[in-house]
Amino acid sequence: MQCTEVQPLFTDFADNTLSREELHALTDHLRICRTCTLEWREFEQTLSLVHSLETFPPPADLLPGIRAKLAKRGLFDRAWALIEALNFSLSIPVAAAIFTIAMLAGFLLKTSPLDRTGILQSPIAQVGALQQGEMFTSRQPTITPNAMFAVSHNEEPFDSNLAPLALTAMTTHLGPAKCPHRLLSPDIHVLLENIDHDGQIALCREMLRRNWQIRPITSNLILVYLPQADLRDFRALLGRLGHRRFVLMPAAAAETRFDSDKKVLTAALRFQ
Amino acid sequence: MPYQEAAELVRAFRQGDQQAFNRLVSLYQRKIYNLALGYVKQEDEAKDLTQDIFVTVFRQIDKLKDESKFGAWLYQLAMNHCRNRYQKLRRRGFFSNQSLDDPETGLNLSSGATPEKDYERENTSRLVREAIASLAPAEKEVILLRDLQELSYEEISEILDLPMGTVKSKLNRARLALKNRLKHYL
Repeated sequence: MQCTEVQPLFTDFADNTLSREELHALTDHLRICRTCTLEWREFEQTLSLVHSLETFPPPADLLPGIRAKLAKRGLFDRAWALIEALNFSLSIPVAAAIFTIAMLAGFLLKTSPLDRTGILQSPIAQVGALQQGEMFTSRQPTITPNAMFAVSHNEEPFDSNLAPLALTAMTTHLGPAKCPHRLLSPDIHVLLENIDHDGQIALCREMLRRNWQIRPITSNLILVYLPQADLRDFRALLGRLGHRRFVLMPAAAAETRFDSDKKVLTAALRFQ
Repeated sequence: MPYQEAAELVRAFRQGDQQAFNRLVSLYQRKIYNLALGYVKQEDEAKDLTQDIFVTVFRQIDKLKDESKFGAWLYQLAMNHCRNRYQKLRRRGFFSNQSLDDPETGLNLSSGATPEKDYERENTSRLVREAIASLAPAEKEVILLRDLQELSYEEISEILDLPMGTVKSKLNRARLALKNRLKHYL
């Protein structure tokens, strides 16, 4: 027997499971080879050390801890048991197909023409939609200036005297407005009669002083964005026009809590 | 291990006897706790790991096909838990902070007031455990199962899903590796 053949037999030798021939060959070799004898002694000592290791007693609170964990997982288990009771048996391809269909449905819903809000919220979509003649009036999105109006290049330019005021307001309060917009669905319509050019400017100044945003639409139409809480003040301001006549629509706009869902109201002021 | 008793307890537990589960835990907790300790080397972690193993036993007992094979099934489940926890802790650098001088290695080292012989014995025990812990995972597993848990080759073969000859050769290699690690001490 060679030295290299000795060590693989150590465990069987220790377990006394070697065949008679292997046992004779091994013991003969160990008798004449000091190196392998030393290796075997070290192997034996190692086994002796390992077998002398004592086991540690488990902690006393092991079982209560298990019970506590089981109680904590009770809800999860019940949910899982319900799922298992439903006996789902989906293969991976079927699950993948369902997932794909769900994603596709979500995409189609998102891009559907029915989703007016989605279109209106995108300025590029607004322009495109309007160019195709679409008017979104049936379903109002959240009140934001850009969401309420689509760009039009077909209207007359805004009065040059009012423009600086309006642009100042836009820059100050709500950001840029590059071109006039067409009104789609304001909350309040105001028709102002017999108000001259100076009167218009004065009115705009008053509204700006109150931090309301003014956006010019055409030469005789402006939009005003004001907090709903300022509605009373808005009516009072219109009332201070004195002999000049104004018409407020709808009539409910005369009430303080005109529309409790909205924080910002859009008023369309048309000068006649 | 009283296999017959375990099989009867499993049967009773499956029929709704909660006390049977408690008795199953009592029957195996020492072995499973020490197996866990052999992996994670820290008492709190070993306790938590042992609890998780028995929680899984509670939840998955219906998956056990043959009640007489509960022991092997439990060890398979325990080994999987131990491997996963060991990997998780190693990734977190849990073992890098532990050394032979660390009193928190789960070896219950006594204080300096311990008599000399006790201290030497404890120290030897700690060295051997450290040497086992430093083995490659596959080597450590067979040493833990055979030399510390004292399972038969048949049981280890079933637990590790390996032929018995492979188990024996792996064990021999693991013991030789352990001997080389302890060479300076022997």
